Amino acid sequence: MEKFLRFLSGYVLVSIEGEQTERFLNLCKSRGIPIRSVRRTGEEQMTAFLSVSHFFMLRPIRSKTKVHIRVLEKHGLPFFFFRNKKRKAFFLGILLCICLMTVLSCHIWNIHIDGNVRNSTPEILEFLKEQGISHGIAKRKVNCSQIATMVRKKYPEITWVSAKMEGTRLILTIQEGEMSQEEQEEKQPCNLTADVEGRIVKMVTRSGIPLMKIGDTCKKGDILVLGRLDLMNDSQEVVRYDYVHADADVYVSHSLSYYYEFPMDHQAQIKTGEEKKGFYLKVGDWFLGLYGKKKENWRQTAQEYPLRITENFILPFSFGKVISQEYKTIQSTYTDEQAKAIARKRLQLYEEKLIEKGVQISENNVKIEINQSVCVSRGNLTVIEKIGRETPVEQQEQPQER
Amino acid sequence: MKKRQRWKENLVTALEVPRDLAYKDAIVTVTGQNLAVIENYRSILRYTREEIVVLTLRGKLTICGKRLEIPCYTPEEMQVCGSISSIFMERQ
Repeated sequence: MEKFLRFLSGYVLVSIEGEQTERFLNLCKSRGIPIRSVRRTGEEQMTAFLSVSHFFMLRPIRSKTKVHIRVLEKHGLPFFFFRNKKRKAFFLGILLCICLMTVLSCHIWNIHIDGNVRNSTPEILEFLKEQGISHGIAKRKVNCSQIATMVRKKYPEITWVSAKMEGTRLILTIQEGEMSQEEQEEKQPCNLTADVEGRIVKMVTRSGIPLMKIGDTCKKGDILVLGRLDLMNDSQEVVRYDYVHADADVYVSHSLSYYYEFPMDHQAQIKTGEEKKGFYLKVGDWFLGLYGKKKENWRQTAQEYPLRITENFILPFSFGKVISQEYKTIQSTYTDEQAKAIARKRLQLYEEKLIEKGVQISENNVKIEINQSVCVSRGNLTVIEKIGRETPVEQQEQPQER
Repeated sequence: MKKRQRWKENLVTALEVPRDLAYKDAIVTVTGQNLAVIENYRSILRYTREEIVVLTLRGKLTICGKRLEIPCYTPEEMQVCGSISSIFMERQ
Protein backbone atom coordinates (compact mmCIF):
# COMPACT_ATOMS: atom_id res chain seq x y z
CA MET A 1 0.00 0.00 0.00
CA GLU A 2 2.80 2.37 0.94
CA LYS A 3 4.54 1.57 -2.35
CA PHE A 4 1.35 2.29 -4.27
CA LEU A 5 0.90 5.66 -2.55
CA ARG A 6 4.53 6.51 -3.33
CA PHE A 7 3.89 5.60 -6.96
CA LEU A 8 0.79 7.83 -7.05
CA SER A 9 2.56 10.89 -5.66
CA GLY A 10 5.79 10.26 -7.61
CA TYR A 11 9.38 10.02 -6.35
CA VAL A 12 12.92 10.84 -7.53
CA LEU A 13 16.38 9.39 -7.14
CA VAL A 14 18.80 12.23 -6.34
CA SER A 15 22.56 12.45 -6.13
CA ILE A 16 23.89 14.58 -3.25
CA GLU A 17 27.44 15.82 -3.64
CA GLY A 18 29.41 17.98 -1.24
CA GLU A 19 31.47 18.11 1.91
CA GLN A 20 28.55 18.21 4.34
CA THR A 21 26.43 15.29 3.20
CA GLU A 22 25.91 14.03 6.80
CA ARG A 23 24.70 17.49 7.86
CA PHE A 24 22.35 17.46 4.88
CA LEU A 25 20.82 14.18 6.14
CA ASN A 26 20.47 15.52 9.68
CA LEU A 27 18.77 18.71 8.51
CA CYS A 28 16.38 16.67 6.39
CA LYS A 29 15.52 14.60 9.44
CA SER A 30 14.96 17.61 11.67
CA ARG A 31 12.65 19.19 9.04
CA GLY A 32 10.61 15.98 8.75
CA ILE A 33 11.73 15.05 5.25
CA PRO A 34 11.82 11.25 5.01
CA ILE A 35 14.71 9.87 2.96
CA ARG A 36 14.90 6.31 1.69
CA SER A 37 17.68 4.09 0.42
CA VAL A 38 20.61 6.31 1.28
CA ARG A 39 23.69 4.85 -0.40
CA ARG A 40 27.25 6.15 -0.35
CA THR A 41 28.59 6.19 -3.92
CA GLY A 42 31.78 8.16 -3.44
CA GLU A 43 33.93 9.98 -0.92
CA GLU A 44 31.68 13.05 -0.97
CA GLN A 45 28.72 11.69 -2.84
CA MET A 46 25.59 9.70 -2.01
CA THR A 47 22.24 8.83 -3.60
CA ALA A 48 18.80 8.74 -1.99
CA PHE A 49 15.10 8.48 -2.86
CA LEU A 50 12.78 11.39 -2.10
CA SER A 51 9.13 12.09 -2.83
CA VAL A 52 8.42 14.89 -5.31
CA SER A 53 6.76 17.14 -2.73
CA HIS A 54 9.71 16.75 -0.34
CA PHE A 55 12.20 17.39 -3.13
CA PHE A 56 10.93 20.95 -3.45
CA MET A 57 11.56 21.52 0.28
CA LEU A 58 15.31 20.94 -0.11
CA ARG A 59 16.25 24.46 -1.32
CA PRO A 60 17.07 26.00 2.15
CA ILE A 61 18.96 22.86 3.23
CA ARG A 62 20.96 22.87 0.02
CA SER A 63 22.01 26.53 0.46
CA LYS A 64 22.94 25.87 4.11
CA THR A 65 25.06 22.78 3.47
CA LYS A 66 26.30 23.88 0.02
CA VAL A 67 25.73 20.45 -1.49
CA HIS A 68 25.01 19.88 -5.13
CA ILE A 69 21.75 18.01 -5.81
CA ARG A 70 21.13 16.32 -9.12
CA VAL A 71 18.04 14.33 -10.15
CA LEU A 72 19.08 10.96 -11.56
CA GLU A 73 15.76 9.13 -12.04
CA LYS A 74 12.08 10.06 -11.98
CA HIS A 75 9.42 7.51 -11.04
CA GLY A 76 5.67 7.51 -10.43
CA LEU A 77 2.38 8.53 -11.94
CA PRO A 78 2.95 12.31 -12.36
CA PHE A 79 6.07 11.63 -14.47
CA PHE A 80 4.25 8.90 -16.42
CA PHE A 81 1.46 11.34 -17.33
CA PHE A 82 4.01 14.00 -18.26
CA ARG A 83 5.92 11.60 -20.51
CA ASN A 84 2.73 10.45 -22.27
CA LYS A 85 0.96 13.77 -22.50
CA LYS A 86 0.88 13.57 -26.30
CA ARG A 87 -0.96 10.23 -26.31
CA LYS A 88 -4.49 11.59 -26.12
CA ALA A 89 -6.23 8.34 -27.10
CA PHE A 90 -4.57 6.56 -24.20
CA PHE A 91 -5.92 9.05 -21.66
CA LEU A 92 -9.28 9.00 -23.38
CA GLY A 93 -9.27 5.22 -22.95
CA ILE A 94 -8.54 5.53 -19.23
CA LEU A 95 -11.32 8.11 -18.87
CA LEU A 96 -13.72 5.90 -20.82
CA CYS A 97 -12.77 2.91 -18.67
CA ILE A 98 -13.47 4.85 -15.47
CA CYS A 99 -16.81 6.08 -16.86
CA LEU A 100 -17.75 2.57 -17.96
CA MET A 101 -16.82 1.11 -14.59
CA THR A 102 -18.90 3.76 -12.82
CA VAL A 103 -21.93 3.17 -15.06
CA LEU A 104 -21.67 -0.63 -14.89
CA SER A 105 -21.26 -0.66 -11.13
CA CYS A 106 -24.69 1.03 -10.85
CA HIS A 107 -26.40 -2.08 -12.23
CA ILE A 108 -27.11 -5.60 -11.01
CA TRP A 109 -25.11 -8.16 -12.97
CA ASN A 110 -25.60 -11.30 -10.92
CA ILE A 111 -28.75 -12.62 -9.28
CA HIS A 112 -27.77 -15.40 -6.88
CA ILE A 113 -30.47 -17.60 -5.36
CA ASP A 114 -29.59 -19.74 -2.39
CA GLY A 115 -31.47 -22.35 -0.33
CA ASN A 116 -34.14 -23.29 -2.91
CA VAL A 117 -34.85 -27.01 -3.35
CA ARG A 118 -38.44 -27.34 -4.56
CA ASN A 119 -38.48 -24.22 -6.70
CA SER A 120 -35.73 -24.25 -9.28
CA THR A 121 -33.48 -21.24 -9.83
CA PRO A 122 -34.61 -20.70 -13.48
CA GLU A 123 -38.24 -20.71 -12.32
CA ILE A 124 -37.61 -18.03 -9.70
CA LEU A 125 -35.50 -16.03 -12.17
CA GLU A 126 -38.35 -16.19 -14.70
CA PHE A 127 -40.78 -14.92 -12.08
CA LEU A 128 -38.40 -12.07 -11.16
CA LYS A 129 -38.07 -11.21 -14.86
CA GLU A 130 -41.86 -10.96 -15.13
CA GLN A 131 -41.74 -8.53 -12.22
CA GLY A 132 -39.09 -6.45 -13.99
CA ILE A 133 -36.10 -7.69 -11.97
CA SER A 134 -33.57 -9.00 -14.47
CA HIS A 135 -29.84 -8.89 -15.06
CA GLY A 136 -28.71 -5.38 -15.92
CA ILE A 137 -31.40 -3.57 -13.91
CA ALA A 138 -30.31 -0.30 -12.28
CA LYS A 139 -29.54 -0.64 -8.58
CA ARG A 140 -31.77 2.31 -7.64
CA LYS A 141 -34.79 0.47 -9.11
CA VAL A 142 -34.25 -2.53 -6.86
CA ASN A 143 -36.25 -2.64 -3.66
CA CYS A 144 -35.05 -5.62 -1.64
CA SER A 145 -37.97 -5.81 0.79
CA GLN A 146 -40.45 -5.59 -2.11
CA ILE A 147 -38.69 -8.45 -3.92
CA ALA A 148 -38.78 -10.58 -0.76
CA THR A 149 -42.51 -9.93 -0.34
CA MET A 150 -43.23 -10.73 -4.00
CA VAL A 151 -41.37 -14.04 -3.82
CA ARG A 152 -43.10 -15.00 -0.57
CA LYS A 153 -46.54 -14.22 -2.06
CA LYS A 154 -45.89 -16.12 -5.28
CA TYR A 155 -44.51 -19.23 -3.57
CA PRO A 156 -46.51 -20.00 -0.39
CA GLU A 157 -44.21 -22.91 0.52
CA ILE A 158 -41.34 -20.44 0.94
CA THR A 159 -41.42 -19.46 4.59
CA TRP A 160 -38.59 -16.93 4.67
CA VAL A 161 -36.87 -14.79 2.04
CA SER A 162 -34.00 -12.39 2.46
CA ALA A 163 -32.95 -10.14 -0.42
CA LYS A 164 -29.78 -8.07 -0.23
CA MET A 165 -27.43 -6.29 -2.59
CA GLU A 166 -23.68 -6.84 -2.41
CA GLY A 167 -21.78 -4.78 -4.96
CA THR A 168 -23.38 -5.65 -8.28
CA ARG A 169 -24.94 -8.86 -6.91
CA LEU A 170 -28.50 -9.41 -5.78
CA ILE A 171 -28.58 -12.28 -3.31
CA LEU A 172 -31.83 -14.03 -2.49
CA THR A 173 -31.67 -16.43 0.45
CA ILE A 174 -34.69 -18.67 0.64
CA GLN A 175 -35.97 -21.09 3.24
CA GLU A 176 -38.65 -23.54 2.24
CA GLY A 177 -41.11 -25.09 4.68
CA GLU A 178 -43.92 -27.64 4.60
CA MET A 179 -47.03 -27.05 2.53
CA SER A 180 -49.65 -25.33 4.66
CA GLN A 181 -52.50 -27.03 2.73
CA GLU A 182 -51.28 -30.46 3.75
CA GLU A 183 -51.39 -29.47 7.39
CA GLN A 184 -54.99 -28.42 7.02
CA GLU A 185 -55.91 -31.67 5.30
CA GLU A 186 -54.25 -33.67 8.04
CA LYS A 187 -56.60 -32.26 10.61
CA GLN A 188 -59.74 -33.55 8.87
CA PRO A 189 -61.29 -36.70 10.42
CA CYS A 190 -60.48 -39.92 8.61
CA ASN A 191 -59.98 -43.67 8.98
CA LEU A 192 -56.77 -45.53 8.24
CA THR A 193 -57.47 -48.30 5.74
CA ALA A 194 -55.22 -51.12 4.55
CA ASP A 195 -54.07 -50.73 0.96
CA VAL A 196 -52.04 -53.98 0.91
CA GLU A 197 -52.90 -57.47 2.09
CA GLY A 198 -50.63 -58.97 4.74
CA ARG A 199 -49.93 -59.91 8.36
CA ILE A 200 -49.49 -57.04 10.83
CA VAL A 201 -46.07 -57.20 12.50
CA LYS A 202 -45.91 -53.81 14.20
CA MET A 203 -48.52 -51.24 15.10
CA VAL A 204 -48.25 -47.90 16.93
CA THR A 205 -51.47 -45.88 17.16
CA ARG A 206 -51.26 -42.19 17.91
CA SER A 207 -54.92 -41.20 17.42
CA GLY A 208 -58.11 -43.17 16.70
CA ILE A 209 -59.24 -46.63 17.81
CA PRO A 210 -57.22 -49.58 16.45
CA LEU A 211 -59.50 -52.30 15.04
CA MET A 212 -56.67 -54.77 14.43
CA LYS A 213 -53.71 -55.94 16.46
CA ILE A 214 -50.25 -57.40 15.87
CA GLY A 215 -50.50 -60.87 14.32
CA ASP A 216 -53.82 -60.19 12.56
CA THR A 217 -54.07 -60.56 8.79
CA CYS A 218 -55.59 -57.61 7.01
CA LYS A 219 -57.09 -57.51 3.56
CA LYS A 220 -57.12 -54.66 1.14
CA GLY A 221 -59.81 -52.19 2.20
CA ASP A 222 -59.99 -53.29 5.87
CA ILE A 223 -60.13 -50.46 8.39
CA LEU A 224 -57.02 -50.56 10.54
CA VAL A 225 -57.66 -47.54 12.75
CA LEU A 226 -61.11 -46.03 13.17
CA GLY A 227 -61.36 -42.25 13.20
CA ARG A 228 -64.56 -42.29 15.29
CA LEU A 229 -64.50 -42.23 19.08
CA ASP A 230 -67.60 -43.51 20.89
CA LEU A 231 -67.98 -41.60 24.14
CA MET A 232 -69.95 -43.66 26.67
CA ASN A 233 -71.60 -42.95 30.01
CA ASP A 234 -71.46 -45.07 33.14
CA SER A 235 -74.16 -47.41 31.74
CA GLN A 236 -71.98 -48.14 28.71
CA GLU A 237 -74.38 -46.29 26.40
CA VAL A 238 -73.03 -44.14 23.62
CA VAL A 239 -73.55 -40.51 24.50
CA ARG A 240 -71.71 -38.86 21.64
CA TYR A 241 -69.53 -39.63 18.63
CA ASP A 242 -66.28 -37.73 18.26
CA TYR A 243 -64.30 -37.78 15.02
CA VAL A 244 -60.51 -37.63 14.86
CA HIS A 245 -57.80 -37.84 12.22
CA ALA A 246 -56.65 -41.47 12.57
CA ASP A 247 -52.87 -41.60 12.81
CA ALA A 248 -50.80 -44.76 13.23
CA ASP A 249 -47.71 -46.57 11.99
CA VAL A 250 -48.84 -50.00 10.76
CA TYR A 251 -46.29 -52.41 9.31
CA VAL A 252 -47.40 -55.57 7.49
CA SER A 253 -45.41 -58.47 6.21
CA HIS A 254 -46.39 -59.79 2.78
CA SER A 255 -44.75 -61.46 -0.16
CA LEU A 256 -43.97 -59.96 -3.55
CA SER A 257 -43.46 -62.16 -6.59
CA TYR A 258 -40.48 -61.39 -8.77
CA TYR A 259 -39.94 -62.47 -12.36
CA TYR A 260 -37.37 -61.29 -14.90
CA GLU A 261 -36.09 -62.97 -17.99
CA PHE A 262 -33.76 -61.98 -20.78
CA PRO A 263 -32.33 -63.80 -23.84
CA MET A 264 -28.79 -65.14 -23.74
CA ASP A 265 -28.20 -64.01 -27.33
CA HIS A 266 -27.91 -60.29 -27.69
CA GLN A 267 -26.54 -57.58 -29.92
CA ALA A 268 -23.54 -55.71 -28.55
CA GLN A 269 -22.30 -52.38 -29.86
CA ILE A 270 -18.53 -52.03 -29.84
CA LYS A 271 -16.54 -48.89 -30.61
CA THR A 272 -14.24 -49.30 -33.61
CA GLY A 273 -11.97 -46.51 -32.38
CA GLU A 274 -12.81 -44.24 -35.31
CA GLU A 275 -13.62 -40.81 -33.92
CA LYS A 276 -14.28 -37.38 -35.39
CA LYS A 277 -14.56 -34.09 -33.59
CA GLY A 278 -16.53 -31.06 -34.64
CA PHE A 279 -17.87 -27.79 -33.30
CA TYR A 280 -20.95 -25.67 -33.58
CA LEU A 281 -21.90 -22.13 -32.75
CA LYS A 282 -25.34 -20.98 -31.67
CA VAL A 283 -26.44 -17.36 -31.53
CA GLY A 284 -30.10 -17.16 -30.52
CA ASP A 285 -31.92 -19.29 -33.13
CA TRP A 286 -29.07 -19.10 -35.62
CA PHE A 287 -26.97 -22.27 -35.80
CA LEU A 288 -23.64 -22.88 -37.48
CA GLY A 289 -22.37 -26.47 -37.43
CA LEU A 290 -18.78 -27.29 -38.27
CA TYR A 291 -19.03 -31.08 -38.32
CA GLY A 292 -19.97 -33.81 -40.78
CA LYS A 293 -23.42 -35.35 -41.20
CA LYS A 294 -24.39 -38.35 -39.08
CA LYS A 295 -23.70 -41.62 -40.87
CA GLU A 296 -25.05 -45.09 -40.28
CA ASN A 297 -23.42 -46.92 -37.34
CA TRP A 298 -22.08 -43.62 -36.04
CA ARG A 299 -23.16 -42.08 -32.78
CA GLN A 300 -22.92 -38.37 -32.05
CA THR A 301 -22.66 -36.77 -28.65
CA ALA A 302 -22.70 -33.03 -28.12
CA GLN A 303 -21.59 -30.90 -25.21
CA GLU A 304 -22.83 -27.33 -25.07
CA TYR A 305 -21.13 -24.47 -23.25
CA PRO A 306 -23.38 -21.43 -22.94
CA LEU A 307 -21.56 -18.12 -22.66
CA ARG A 308 -22.28 -16.60 -19.29
CA ILE A 309 -21.09 -13.36 -17.77
CA THR A 310 -22.03 -14.25 -14.22
CA GLU A 311 -23.44 -17.34 -12.52
CA ASN A 312 -27.06 -16.85 -13.75
CA PHE A 313 -26.56 -14.22 -16.44
CA ILE A 314 -26.45 -16.37 -19.57
CA LEU A 315 -25.99 -14.72 -22.94
CA PRO A 316 -27.78 -16.13 -26.03
CA PHE A 317 -24.42 -17.35 -27.38
CA SER A 318 -23.28 -20.92 -26.97
CA PHE A 319 -20.46 -23.02 -28.21
CA GLY A 320 -20.75 -26.78 -28.65
CA LYS A 321 -18.37 -29.69 -29.08
CA VAL A 322 -19.56 -32.68 -31.14
CA ILE A 323 -17.90 -36.07 -30.95
CA SER A 324 -18.86 -38.67 -33.58
CA GLN A 325 -17.88 -42.28 -32.83
CA GLU A 326 -18.24 -45.31 -35.05
CA TYR A 327 -19.91 -48.38 -33.63
CA LYS A 328 -20.00 -51.96 -34.81
CA THR A 329 -22.94 -54.19 -33.98
CA ILE A 330 -22.05 -57.82 -33.28
CA GLN A 331 -24.12 -60.84 -32.32
CA SER A 332 -22.96 -62.31 -29.02
CA THR A 333 -24.03 -64.80 -26.33
CA TYR A 334 -23.63 -64.32 -22.57
CA THR A 335 -21.69 -66.93 -20.64
CA ASP A 336 -23.50 -68.44 -17.62
CA GLU A 337 -21.47 -66.28 -15.20
CA GLN A 338 -22.17 -63.11 -17.16
CA ALA A 339 -25.92 -63.88 -17.35
CA LYS A 340 -26.10 -64.64 -13.61
CA ALA A 341 -24.22 -61.43 -12.80
CA ILE A 342 -26.67 -59.42 -14.93
CA ALA A 343 -29.66 -61.11 -13.28
CA ARG A 344 -28.21 -60.51 -9.80
CA LYS A 345 -27.53 -56.86 -10.66
CA ARG A 346 -31.12 -56.44 -11.86
CA LEU A 347 -32.48 -58.00 -8.65
CA GLN A 348 -30.21 -55.77 -6.59
CA LEU A 349 -31.52 -52.68 -8.38
CA TYR A 350 -35.10 -53.82 -7.71
CA GLU A 351 -34.28 -54.33 -4.01
CA GLU A 352 -32.62 -50.92 -3.81
CA LYS A 353 -35.75 -49.32 -5.29
CA LEU A 354 -37.86 -51.05 -2.63
CA ILE A 355 -35.52 -49.92 0.16
CA GLU A 356 -35.68 -46.36 -1.16
CA LYS A 357 -39.47 -46.51 -0.72
CA GLY A 358 -38.95 -47.47 2.94
CA VAL A 359 -39.67 -51.18 2.48
CA GLN A 360 -37.66 -53.72 4.52
CA ILE A 361 -36.76 -57.02 2.88
CA SER A 362 -36.95 -59.88 5.37
CA GLU A 363 -36.63 -62.89 3.04
CA ASN A 364 -35.34 -63.41 -0.46
CA ASN A 365 -36.35 -66.63 -2.28
CA VAL A 366 -35.41 -65.63 -5.83
CA LYS A 367 -33.63 -68.25 -7.91
CA ILE A 368 -31.71 -67.65 -11.11
CA GLU A 369 -31.92 -70.37 -13.76
CA ILE A 370 -30.46 -70.62 -17.23
CA ASN A 371 -32.53 -72.52 -19.80
CA GLN A 372 -30.45 -72.76 -23.00
CA SER A 373 -31.48 -69.49 -24.62
CA VAL A 374 -32.96 -67.50 -21.74
CA CYS A 375 -31.92 -66.54 -18.21
CA VAL A 376 -34.87 -66.49 -15.83
CA SER A 377 -34.92 -65.16 -12.27
CA ARG A 378 -38.13 -65.96 -10.39
CA GLY A 379 -39.24 -66.27 -6.81
CA ASN A 380 -40.74 -64.38 -3.88
CA LEU A 381 -39.50 -61.58 -1.69
CA THR A 382 -40.98 -61.27 1.79
CA VAL A 383 -41.13 -57.61 2.70
CA ILE A 384 -42.21 -55.52 5.66
CA GLU A 385 -43.93 -52.36 4.54
CA LYS A 386 -45.68 -49.43 6.18
CA ILE A 387 -49.28 -49.31 5.01
CA GLY A 388 -52.35 -47.20 5.57
CA ARG A 389 -54.46 -44.99 3.36
CA GLU A 390 -56.60 -42.19 4.66
CA THR A 391 -60.30 -42.77 3.86
CA PRO A 392 -63.29 -40.67 4.91
CA VAL A 393 -64.93 -41.72 8.15
CA GLU A 394 -68.61 -42.64 8.08
CA GLN A 395 -70.54 -39.98 9.97
CA GLN A 396 -73.07 -41.47 12.44
CA GLU A 397 -76.11 -39.66 13.69
CA GLN A 398 -75.49 -38.30 17.17
CA PRO A 399 -77.57 -40.20 19.81
CA GLN A 400 -80.41 -38.17 21.32
CA GLU A 401 -80.07 -37.03 24.91
CA ARG A 402 -82.43 -38.66 27.38
CA MET B 1 23.66 16.90 41.70
CA LYS B 2 24.72 13.30 42.28
CA LYS B 3 22.07 13.01 44.98
CA ARG B 4 19.40 14.26 42.60
CA GLN B 5 20.55 11.77 39.94
CA ARG B 6 20.35 8.90 42.41
CA TRP B 7 16.86 10.00 43.50
CA LYS B 8 15.71 9.98 39.87
CA GLU B 9 17.20 6.55 39.31
CA ASN B 10 15.45 5.20 42.41
CA LEU B 11 12.14 6.63 41.22
CA VAL B 12 12.53 5.14 37.75
CA THR B 13 13.34 1.73 39.24
CA ALA B 14 10.44 1.90 41.68
CA LEU B 15 7.91 2.89 39.00
CA GLU B 16 9.36 0.36 36.54
CA VAL B 17 9.51 3.00 33.79
CA PRO B 18 11.47 1.76 30.75
CA ARG B 19 14.93 3.33 30.55
CA ASP B 20 14.50 4.41 26.93
CA LEU B 21 11.59 6.61 28.03
CA ALA B 22 13.15 7.88 31.24
CA TYR B 23 16.69 8.61 30.02
CA LYS B 24 16.07 8.56 26.23
CA ASP B 25 18.51 5.69 25.93
CA ALA B 26 19.13 4.56 22.36
CA ILE B 27 17.54 1.27 21.27
CA VAL B 28 19.50 -0.82 18.81
CA THR B 29 17.69 -3.84 17.38
CA VAL B 30 19.93 -6.14 15.39
CA THR B 31 18.34 -8.78 13.12
CA GLY B 32 20.91 -11.30 11.92
CA GLN B 33 24.06 -9.81 10.45
CA ASN B 34 22.40 -7.64 7.83
CA LEU B 35 19.95 -5.32 9.54
CA ALA B 36 20.08 -2.94 12.51
CA VAL B 37 17.36 -0.51 13.60
CA ILE B 38 18.34 2.45 15.78
CA GLU B 39 15.76 4.43 17.76
CA ASN B 40 16.19 7.46 20.05
CA TYR B 41 19.17 8.89 18.17
CA ARG B 42 20.11 12.50 17.52
CA SER B 43 22.08 12.70 14.26
CA ILE B 44 24.59 11.09 11.93
CA LEU B 45 28.16 12.13 12.58
CA ARG B 46 29.88 10.18 9.85
CA TYR B 47 28.66 7.95 7.07
CA THR B 48 30.91 5.83 4.86
CA ARG B 49 30.35 2.44 3.25
CA GLU B 50 32.39 0.79 6.03
CA GLU B 51 31.31 2.81 9.08
CA ILE B 52 28.33 4.76 10.38
CA VAL B 53 28.74 6.90 13.50
CA VAL B 54 25.48 7.98 15.10
CA LEU B 55 25.19 10.48 17.95
CA THR B 56 22.76 9.51 20.71
CA LEU B 57 21.79 11.41 23.87
CA ARG B 58 24.18 9.31 26.01
CA GLY B 59 27.12 9.02 23.61
CA LYS B 60 28.23 7.75 20.23
CA LEU B 61 27.18 4.56 18.49
CA THR B 62 29.42 3.09 15.82
CA ILE B 63 28.33 0.44 13.34
CA CYS B 64 31.12 -1.15 11.34
CA GLY B 65 30.76 -3.42 8.34
CA LYS B 66 30.78 -3.58 4.56
CA ARG B 67 28.49 -2.00 1.96
CA LEU B 68 26.49 -0.18 4.63
CA GLU B 69 23.31 1.55 3.48
CA ILE B 70 20.50 3.49 5.14
CA PRO B 71 17.17 2.22 3.71
CA CYS B 72 15.10 4.43 6.01
CA TYR B 73 16.06 7.70 7.72
CA THR B 74 13.22 9.35 9.67
CA PRO B 75 13.02 11.27 12.99
CA GLU B 76 11.65 8.11 14.70
CA GLU B 77 14.06 5.47 13.49
CA MET B 78 16.97 4.76 11.26
CA GLN B 79 17.62 1.45 9.52
CA VAL B 80 21.09 0.28 8.59
CA CYS B 81 21.58 -2.66 6.27
CA GLY B 82 24.65 -4.33 4.83
CA SER B 83 27.15 -6.80 6.18
CA ILE B 84 27.42 -5.68 9.83
CA SER B 85 30.56 -6.86 11.64
CA SER B 86 30.55 -4.88 14.91
CA ILE B 87 28.61 -2.31 16.96
CA PHE B 88 30.35 -0.07 19.57
CA MET B 89 28.92 2.25 22.18
CA GLU B 90 30.91 5.20 23.52
CA ARG B 91 29.78 6.89 26.74
CA GLN B 92 29.95 10.70 26.85
